[in-house]
Amino acid sequence: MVVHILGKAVKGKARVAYGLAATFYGIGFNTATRICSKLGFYPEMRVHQLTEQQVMSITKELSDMTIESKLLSQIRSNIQLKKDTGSYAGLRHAMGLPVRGQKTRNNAKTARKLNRLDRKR
Amino acid sequence: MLRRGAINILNARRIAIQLRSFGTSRSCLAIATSRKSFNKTSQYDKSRQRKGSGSDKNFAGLIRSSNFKATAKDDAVMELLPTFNIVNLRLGDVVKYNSEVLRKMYISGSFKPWQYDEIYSQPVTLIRKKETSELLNFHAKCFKGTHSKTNRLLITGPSGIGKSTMLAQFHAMVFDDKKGAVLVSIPNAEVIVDGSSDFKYNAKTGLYDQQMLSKNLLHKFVNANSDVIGEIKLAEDFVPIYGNKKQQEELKLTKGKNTLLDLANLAFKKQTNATYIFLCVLAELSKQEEHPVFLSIDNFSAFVQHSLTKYRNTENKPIYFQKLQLAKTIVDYISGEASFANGGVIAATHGSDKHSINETLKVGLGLKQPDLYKKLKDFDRSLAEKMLENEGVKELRVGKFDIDECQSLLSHMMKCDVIHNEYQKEEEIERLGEEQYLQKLAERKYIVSGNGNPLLLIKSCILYYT
Repeated sequence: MVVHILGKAVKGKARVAYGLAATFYGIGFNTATRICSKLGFYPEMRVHQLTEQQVMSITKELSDMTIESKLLSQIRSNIQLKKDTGSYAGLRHAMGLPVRGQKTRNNAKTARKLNRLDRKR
Repeated sequence: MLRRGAINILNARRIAIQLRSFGTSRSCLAIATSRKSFNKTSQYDKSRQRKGSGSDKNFAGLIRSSNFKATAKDDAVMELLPTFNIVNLRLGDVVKYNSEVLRKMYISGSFKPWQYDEIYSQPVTLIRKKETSELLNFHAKCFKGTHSKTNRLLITGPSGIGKSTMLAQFHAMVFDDKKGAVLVSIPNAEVIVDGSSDFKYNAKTGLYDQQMLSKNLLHKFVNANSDVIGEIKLAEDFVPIYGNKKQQEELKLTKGKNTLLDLANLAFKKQTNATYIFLCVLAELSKQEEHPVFLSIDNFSAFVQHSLTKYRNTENKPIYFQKLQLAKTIVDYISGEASFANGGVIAATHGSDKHSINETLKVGLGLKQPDLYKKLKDFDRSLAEKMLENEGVKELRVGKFDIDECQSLLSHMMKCDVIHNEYQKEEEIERLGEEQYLQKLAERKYIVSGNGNPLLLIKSCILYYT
């Protein structure tokens, strides 16, 4: 059973904090816990136990935050700004290499995976 | 060859492109709606339902759900066993519980899944010479009509020593008594602080109410004591603090007419504040003098281990355990601030090493001077001071088995045929005789179990295969 929050399916059997953290880009476990505390959910509460009113209150909290596509476009525009100003960080992003002085003799796997102008995640 | 292969692929792609339909005409849509999903079967086939391996459960869950005791073949032995009786304690013997007492003990959560009771058809217990005698003295003192303020006991000891078993024996003493004693049992205090039940801030009290947990505790209380609390008349009128006037009028209970059972049942029948009802029930029990009342708490050290609970307030700060209404009420009874006119309070700690470096309980029992510069995680000054109030909580330190107690338990286990790792048993019995063999076995197991730790003794008999 899933519960739909902001148009996304959240696993029903997951704890609320874990469910939110696993589903939404830009929400980690700490942010999810903060939301749960603010709304008065107990730590072991599961997603399927949420009432309609509680789902609405989560939706309200999330809609005020910069998450999902809004956050991604913000990150992309930041990278684009670096590229447009001709900074070294922008160049490194464009080349798919580490930005903050990490060595590249071996690995640099994360940078190769993520660093690009049109960043995916 | 390669070129031909490439041409074939190109042809195949061309055909696929030609076949792909981009039309959105009505006929296309009609076909699409009648199409069935390949993933879902139209009917649920029960024959394909498989029973799980049970590996998804932890040990405690498995013990609770699997009826292992049904496979025990000890009916003949159990029939001959003496029954637990406070008039004749039978020190040093293994005894069984009376069936009615046993039913109430199961409800009150007296037996824990890690006690290996499932090896027998019903739980049995060894009457300890020193510890059970002290417990009986405490029980007798409580029944002399003394205030629970003066009757407060904390059972302590290392892991596996039998603290919960001592508490279970005390429950048996309470239920076995013919004077109609009442037991309010909290089988695991950790459930109050581990974030497993809902919580809501109550602006009137400034504390947090836990409705689900209160209802659960009331359920145990009612089922275990329904015969006694059905006779206790309310000392004060009960008017609910919630709902509109019509509802309040409907749920109103009158003193002298309605019983404590009516009050407790309100928590299940109507949508009410169960925590408030739980407190009212305790208040009513505190006032009456006819029936002795006992509050029993197992795993009391959870309040030390989780002094900052898993619950968080709206600012995402952990809540201190005494901010929870249920925990505060328990601490009030432990400190003597609240008390029963007739009865006692008994608690047992958890043997885990996690709280062993914490000094709260040692200071609270008056065994150590407090170090006031310690942090909350190492020393909870508030709890320690509360424990020291009203002449302090008394300690019952549970000790290890001596060789005679080991022998008594082993003798029972041998009769029930639950020891399967003694491969030389028959030869040794032939050589030494049964009595000598049992004595030798007891000496051996006494050493193996770390000089008489009961849990290690049982484990060495039933778990270890050499």
